[in-house]
Amino acid sequence: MDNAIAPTSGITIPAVESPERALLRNNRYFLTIIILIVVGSLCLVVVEQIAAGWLALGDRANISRRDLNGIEITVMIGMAAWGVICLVTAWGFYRHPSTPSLGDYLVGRIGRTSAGVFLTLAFLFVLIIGCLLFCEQILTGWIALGERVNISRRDINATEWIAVISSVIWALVSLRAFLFLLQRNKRGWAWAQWTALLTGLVGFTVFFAALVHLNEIVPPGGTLTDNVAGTLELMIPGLLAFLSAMAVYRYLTLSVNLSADQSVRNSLAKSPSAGAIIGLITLIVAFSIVSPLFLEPRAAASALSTNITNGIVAIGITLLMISGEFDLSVGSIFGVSSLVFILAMTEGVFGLPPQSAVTAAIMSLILAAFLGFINGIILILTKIPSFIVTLATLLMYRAVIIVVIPEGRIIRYADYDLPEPIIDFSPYVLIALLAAAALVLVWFAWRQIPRLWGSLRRRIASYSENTSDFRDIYVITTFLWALLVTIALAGLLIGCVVAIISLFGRGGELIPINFFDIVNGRIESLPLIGPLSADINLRTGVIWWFVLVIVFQFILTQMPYGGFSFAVGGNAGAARAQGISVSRVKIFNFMICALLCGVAGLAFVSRVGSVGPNLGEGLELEVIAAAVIGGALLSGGYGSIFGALLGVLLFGLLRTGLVLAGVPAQIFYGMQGLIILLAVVLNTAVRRVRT
Amino acid sequence: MSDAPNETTVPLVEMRGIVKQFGSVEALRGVDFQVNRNEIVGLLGDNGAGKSTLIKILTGVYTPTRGEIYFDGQPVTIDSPHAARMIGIETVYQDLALVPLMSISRNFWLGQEPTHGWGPFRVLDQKVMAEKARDALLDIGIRIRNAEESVGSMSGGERQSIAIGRAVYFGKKLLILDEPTSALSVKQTGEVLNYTRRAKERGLSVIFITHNIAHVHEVADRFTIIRGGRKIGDFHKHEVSELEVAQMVMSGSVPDRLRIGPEDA
Repeated sequence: MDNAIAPTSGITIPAVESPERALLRNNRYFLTIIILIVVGSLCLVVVEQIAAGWLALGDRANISRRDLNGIEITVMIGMAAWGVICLVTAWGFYRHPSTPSLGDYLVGRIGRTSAGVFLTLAFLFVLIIGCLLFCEQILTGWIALGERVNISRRDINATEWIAVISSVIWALVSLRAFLFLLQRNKRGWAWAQWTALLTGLVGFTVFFAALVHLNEIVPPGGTLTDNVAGTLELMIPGLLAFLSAMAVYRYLTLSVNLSADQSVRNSLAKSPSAGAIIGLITLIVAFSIVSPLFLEPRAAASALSTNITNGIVAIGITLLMISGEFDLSVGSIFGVSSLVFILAMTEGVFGLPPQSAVTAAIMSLILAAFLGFINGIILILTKIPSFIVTLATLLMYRAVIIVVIPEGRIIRYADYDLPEPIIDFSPYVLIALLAAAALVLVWFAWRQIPRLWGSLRRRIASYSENTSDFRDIYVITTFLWALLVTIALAGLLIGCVVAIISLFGRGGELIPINFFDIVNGRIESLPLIGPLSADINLRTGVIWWFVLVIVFQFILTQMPYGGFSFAVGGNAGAARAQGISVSRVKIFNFMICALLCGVAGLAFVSRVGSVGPNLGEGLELEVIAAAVIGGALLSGGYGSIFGALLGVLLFGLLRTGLVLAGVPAQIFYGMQGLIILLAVVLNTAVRRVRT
Repeated sequence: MSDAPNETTVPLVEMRGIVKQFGSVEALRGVDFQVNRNEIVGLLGDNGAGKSTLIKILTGVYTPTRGEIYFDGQPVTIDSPHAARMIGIETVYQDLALVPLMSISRNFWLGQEPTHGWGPFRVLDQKVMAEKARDALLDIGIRIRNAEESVGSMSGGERQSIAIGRAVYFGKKLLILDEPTSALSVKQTGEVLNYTRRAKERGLSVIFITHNIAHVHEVADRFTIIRGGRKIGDFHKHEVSELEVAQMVMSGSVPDRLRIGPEDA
């Protein structure tokens, strides 16, 4: 591009380029103008299609008739107006490249009819009307969403309710922005930016979804051109929303210090797991578009339940990576401890007779921690890099398994004619546990609930002094959050009390509970939701997994030991200089990591009931990948347990999603590799924004 | 604040006849070294002169082959860095001072975090950590925007300064700065020297190790020059010029007019 041209001064205009072209080329609205022209033309095409009767909307039993109904006329008028405004604005931007920004309007320097200002106001207005029309069409049943066998019935499903509620909220937000702008209130700028940005994102998603389902509207034996109206109907809403919003957003973010997308990027940069968050959202949106089954509880439950072992091991490996070390032997430790757990129950290990499930579990956990201790002590004594040390122990621990169960034998709990490991709990023990839980809840509520409602009261009291652009949003979210926490705590407390009362009702009768069910059994019903249908396989192990994630994230961020781990991995010399025992922290983290492998082993055996010689092979790479996606640095000193959870979920959803999308499962590894690469690139890019 | 060292009291640190042998190599051949209270000593010497060996003995990294160390007038055995910390010696190493990926406040408190709770269930008191770190740093003149910011985004001079501020806050008696300015710009060097002076005003003694006299002449009260494992001499700032010190560091010979020199103590 020839930047030597100064179009407005008119001094150096090369002969090859006409003044008009130069004007366009150097216009800061160049891209906006192009988008606006596209939007304007598309609107007019739609108007034509409706007028010609090819595009039918609303109540229309017979597509062949020529009259136009109310909704069609409304949409036509709206589309025509919006199209004309876009084209006129494009012309305005083209003629006056120095069109003032919204800031000039807010301080009263220009009027509402200035090209960009009018575009913004019109956009918000169209958005309000559009959202309301959309609601109306869903409620009257003319737009059907979600799983719907029969379009003619009148009930509204959950997806539709969500769409209705969110579009009403969206209409209100747009209205707020619109009114702010009318009053020349400075807050309107930020509101309009966010409205445009989010509308654009939603529009893009809808457009993407339409693209995926495009092949469904091709008439048999024909091409897309045979069904122009159908194509338009499918593609236009998303495309128009996306392009219009982007044009407005580009105008709005001109000459602002911190645009909406920058503030999103900045807050993402604060999180170690930006890549995993973005990846997870993208994956969920993409798969739920491709396959409607993906959003069903069945798929979510399966994605969670099949990743319990990976998830628990990933916690340990992340902690270890934060302290600057690395454990390749996790898969073998997982295998050994699973083996010891099952053998201790069935055949007996270390020369002991078969044990009860609890003793066997304790034995396998102690063994796992011991294997981790061996890793750590070798590392500290020899100062060999952990990659080599644990590569060696990976093979050695695996050898133990192969020696014990040679020739591909598989140990099955069911083969031993043993009873299920039932533990008889006295109801009073359970009552005591529940009472303790209730006490903790009361204590928590006692501390948190007044604080939450107090902060809401303070927000309301200081509402008029609050200079933030989004003070209304803060008040609403504070209120919703306080309400949610209060309801959740009250619900849990009531649950505890009800359970205690019903236990008292049983008298002194012992309650048999299967040990396997405690560790990783199927959850039959959920509080508030009720019994789960038979095809939803949600496991108790998921609860333990999440509890462990929360506990370790808490240790990492809120307790001194977490700080020591970060320091040891980030700069061992500095940690030592501050009196932290680097060796002790590292050995301890190796042991925690191995112990968590043992816990994962318990969860695995409790669910599957069998152990084969190659159990856990390849686990190490998968969990390290999850930790890395979650933001952990291979060089140590940085990472998050929560990120590792997201990393594991990312893989779990990928696997489930590919199956549901009907993609051959063989490409799973390829996709996994791609995601690792993308997530790490994103993490690095985002971190660069911060420094 | 008086700039002259207080000669009447016992020196804070006194090292007598320190000999250190590594196998057949004699790194230190009987060095006497002392630091008075509230004094900044510039420990000078070329690379390999033995100054880091001397300091590593004082900070417990090495144990001396022969010789005694007195701290606060008491004979002490410093056999580990931990022991050195316990008696109040804080060392600020150039790149070992802070953990770059952790926040200022976490770095400031590393190893001695304020907590609530009991036993193994101690939880960091993040609010107190951030507030006190900010106040303590402000106290010696370091203004930080946000204690939650990571140290990695700060300049080398700021990092040294935070380490100095930390030593002052935790009531250390002796601050050892190991080549603190060798990788810094002129402006940042100035800042670090400034905070060193502040540390002295707060009652600390400082050993400033460097091979570059220009960095320390401004703030030091006294210079100790080491060469070839021996001490060339101790000189008060008013007795020597910058040029003379530089020559002694390089040549190892004391100018005639200083020959009889003030052997302190």
